[in-house]
Amino acid sequence: MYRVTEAPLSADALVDLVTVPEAGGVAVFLGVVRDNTAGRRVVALEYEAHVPMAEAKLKEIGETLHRRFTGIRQAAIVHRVGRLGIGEASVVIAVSAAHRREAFEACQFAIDTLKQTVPIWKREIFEDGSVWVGLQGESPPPD
Amino acid sequence: MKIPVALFARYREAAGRGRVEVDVPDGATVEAVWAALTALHPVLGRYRPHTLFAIGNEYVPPDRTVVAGEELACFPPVSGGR
Repeated sequence: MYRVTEAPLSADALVDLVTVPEAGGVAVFLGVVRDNTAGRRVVALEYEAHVPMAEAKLKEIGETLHRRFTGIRQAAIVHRVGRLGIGEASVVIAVSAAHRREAFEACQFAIDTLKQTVPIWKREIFEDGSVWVGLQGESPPPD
Repeated sequence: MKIPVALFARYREAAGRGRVEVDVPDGATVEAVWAALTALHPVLGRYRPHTLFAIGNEYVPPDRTVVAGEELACFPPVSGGR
């Protein structure tokens, strides 16, 4: 399953989905909303996606996992969009493999690739303003 | 030809809308569509060095020719983090 959704994410649901008899390990990554950015208090994050393209890119990541790592059995990636509070999961990745090493490595590869290729953006909402995240070194446009 | 352009994140907010239609000659490239877009919404011009383009579900380079019926998506780099 490779989806973008506004609904709260369930890690358990993804674990169930990828847990198959041929798997010996399941690795799960959750991205969650942190309460600060470089010490500045964050109250919420807002995620926006180019949904059809994002889902296609998530699927590509899944296909890459099967090619790149041996023994991958199942993979699932779901990313949430909309406004998320502190501690809520923005992304869940679950990968099952014959052995644990490949499951861990594939999971890490998936989140690292997702952050580079999947068209999803986030806005950090502070107590006194907000800023789109993404362009390193760029000063935020005047609001 | 008229080409619909989809804008996301800060681009959408800067332009005040998520969808813009631009008129460009047949055979126009992605770069030419961007030029037409920024003529309508000059506020977007400053973002060009960072901008990513996509047609359908694929990233495309600026010199790609746009065909009638296609929609061009323009957006900033994705969310990053470490």
